[in-house]
Amino acid sequence: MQNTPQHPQEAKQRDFTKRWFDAQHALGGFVRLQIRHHSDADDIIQEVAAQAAINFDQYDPARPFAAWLFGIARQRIAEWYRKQNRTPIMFSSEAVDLLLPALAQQQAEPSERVDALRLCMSKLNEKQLLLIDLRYHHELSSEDIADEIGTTPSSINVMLFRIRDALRRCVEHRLEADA
Amino acid sequence: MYTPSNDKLLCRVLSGPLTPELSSELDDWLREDPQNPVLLAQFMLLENLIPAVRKEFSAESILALLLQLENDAEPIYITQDVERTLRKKAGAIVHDPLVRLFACVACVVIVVSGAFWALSTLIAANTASTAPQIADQQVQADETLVTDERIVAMLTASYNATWAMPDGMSDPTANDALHPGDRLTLTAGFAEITTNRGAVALLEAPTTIELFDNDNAMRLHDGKLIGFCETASSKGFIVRTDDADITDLGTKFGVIADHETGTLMHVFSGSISAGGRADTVNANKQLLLKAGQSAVANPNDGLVSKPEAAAAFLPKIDLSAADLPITAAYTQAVKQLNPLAYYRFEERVGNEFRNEMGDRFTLSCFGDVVSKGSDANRSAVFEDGFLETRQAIAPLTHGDYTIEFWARSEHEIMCHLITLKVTSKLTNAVLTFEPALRFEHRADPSNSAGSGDTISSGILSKTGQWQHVVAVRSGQEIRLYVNTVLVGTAESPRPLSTAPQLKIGSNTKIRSPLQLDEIAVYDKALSEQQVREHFRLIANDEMRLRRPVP
Repeated sequence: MQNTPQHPQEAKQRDFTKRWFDAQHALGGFVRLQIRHHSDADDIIQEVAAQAAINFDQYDPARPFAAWLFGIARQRIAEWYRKQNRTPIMFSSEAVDLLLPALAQQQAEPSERVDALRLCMSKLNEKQLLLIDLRYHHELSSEDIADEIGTTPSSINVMLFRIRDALRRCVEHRLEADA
Repeated sequence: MYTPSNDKLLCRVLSGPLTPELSSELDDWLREDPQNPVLLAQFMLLENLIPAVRKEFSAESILALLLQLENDAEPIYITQDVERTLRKKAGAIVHDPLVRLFACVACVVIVVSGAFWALSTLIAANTASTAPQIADQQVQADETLVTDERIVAMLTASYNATWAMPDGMSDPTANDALHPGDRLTLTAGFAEITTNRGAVALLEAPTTIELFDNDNAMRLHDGKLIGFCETASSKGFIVRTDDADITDLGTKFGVIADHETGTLMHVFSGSISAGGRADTVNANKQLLLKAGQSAVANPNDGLVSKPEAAAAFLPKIDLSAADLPITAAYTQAVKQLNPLAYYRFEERVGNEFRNEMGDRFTLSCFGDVVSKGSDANRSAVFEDGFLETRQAIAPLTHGDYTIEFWARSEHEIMCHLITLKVTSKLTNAVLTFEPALRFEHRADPSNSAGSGDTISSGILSKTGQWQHVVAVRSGQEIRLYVNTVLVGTAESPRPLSTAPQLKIGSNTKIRSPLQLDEIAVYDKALSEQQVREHFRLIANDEMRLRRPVP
């Protein structure tokens, strides 16, 4: 490591980068739960990153960084809906206000959560992994997955929910055990 | 409180889409119990991580799996990628799940002692990937170009690759492990290298790279590299050149390093941070670039943004074969955009060529036009004739439209390629080789060249190569793309006033045969991204690489 004095711009960038990496998964989840199409969600997340980086001077450090990002994301999501000629349907402001402290409570470092999830996913059986692949990698809708494996869309939704819930419990359990 | 009815609500929220009723129910539920927002927050974090982790392939996950296996009797699902690396590590062939499990146990015995050392190194590297600026310093510290046996990356694919390796070293092949200090010079073709943390570097010859003791970084001495960082762990991938350190923030980006002109960088999607190297005049300079932006770093100009330079990153591929290498993916991509007409010229039935999109706008043949080529890969060859729809294409008067096609001729020619005609004398859009490619949009039909909104491209017909041509009218502008490069734009305030017929080819005899293929007519404007995607589907098939060239 070098101990050279930091240039103010460099310090600012470092501050932004640190905050971004801490908040990115919460932001990603926030966007993905409202925009189901992964590529579109990715685009919105990237746009939020770029806008936040450019306007980082306007961020008030007294507020949670995630709250600021969620505000930018809400504008981008509303814009996305407008481009689709659809009325924006998003989490309400009240829901966001309730979610932010809950997200702040999730103490684990992003990398710890990734590690825990990686281990938990290794325990899924092949059918469960197939469902995850079809939903998250191939971006198929529940209807398309149901066609693919011969069942109903609502069964797929329930199966996927059970997998997500099992992963959630496993991740939280591992994070608690490691703490 | 967590109850079965909560399951139902969460299942609906996670399955989507959100409705006003569901949003209102969610608000009530979140208020009901302080634990409920915590539950939703945990699902939110998971929703973002699952896709990334599922795709992930890194030494870190292999080591974690091995360590877990030691403590956990339950069987572990191992992906093919992991299996391949395990095989390399264990030197064993692993076939079925049972043997695989035993092989893993054997691996544990071999590597577990080293794993703790490696894991601690990985944790250090993890710090590097989660904070690019910190990573920057990490790279400086780690840049020890001493060969060691630790695997930091793998050569995951190559196409027509030839290498200039130091004496005594054999050419790398797909699935070869790469170590700190490995220096690779690609003299022809393409190669794809995946770092331990999952970042993919697509190299196009001539290019030289060098690896150092870092799981997610490489030095680009000279040449062209396109980086893909699509997994959570790959973010923070660093490309170091003589002039700059380019750090990914979750993106696709390109870097060209040249000893004379410096470093050119461009972001295709996402964003990157570029910092001047500490030992150069650009020290302490930082730029954040987002999608569509470019920058250059060199001793003369400093580190500065520059006009979009995506064209510099187009693959230099050979499309001189007589048959255009069309794939099912290409035709599917075109059809998904629902063009009004799509002509593939696979078969001439009587005097007609069919429209792949339905019975409307079939092409009738006048004069000498034939379908030539290999099976399922034919094109229309024009010498002394043309094709024409019997019906007018009314939707083209609605405003936006796009005409997309591939053209090839052995020699310089002057002829009409595509015409939107109202009568035999009056036309309202023309694409011609004169011999440079020209696109003219005439709101009111006319027989006078130059009476409309015009783009003269300067792109000549004499190529012997297939060229991808896309003429777009969008809003109040016309655009012309050749091989995805925007070669010109012009103002175009008014749409077509009269519904035209589509005419392909010329009335007069052409000096050298003209080949046209995959002609698609849309009643909407294709975006630059869609134009690139179509070109990429051809180019990529030619290269047979896993990662698409942006």
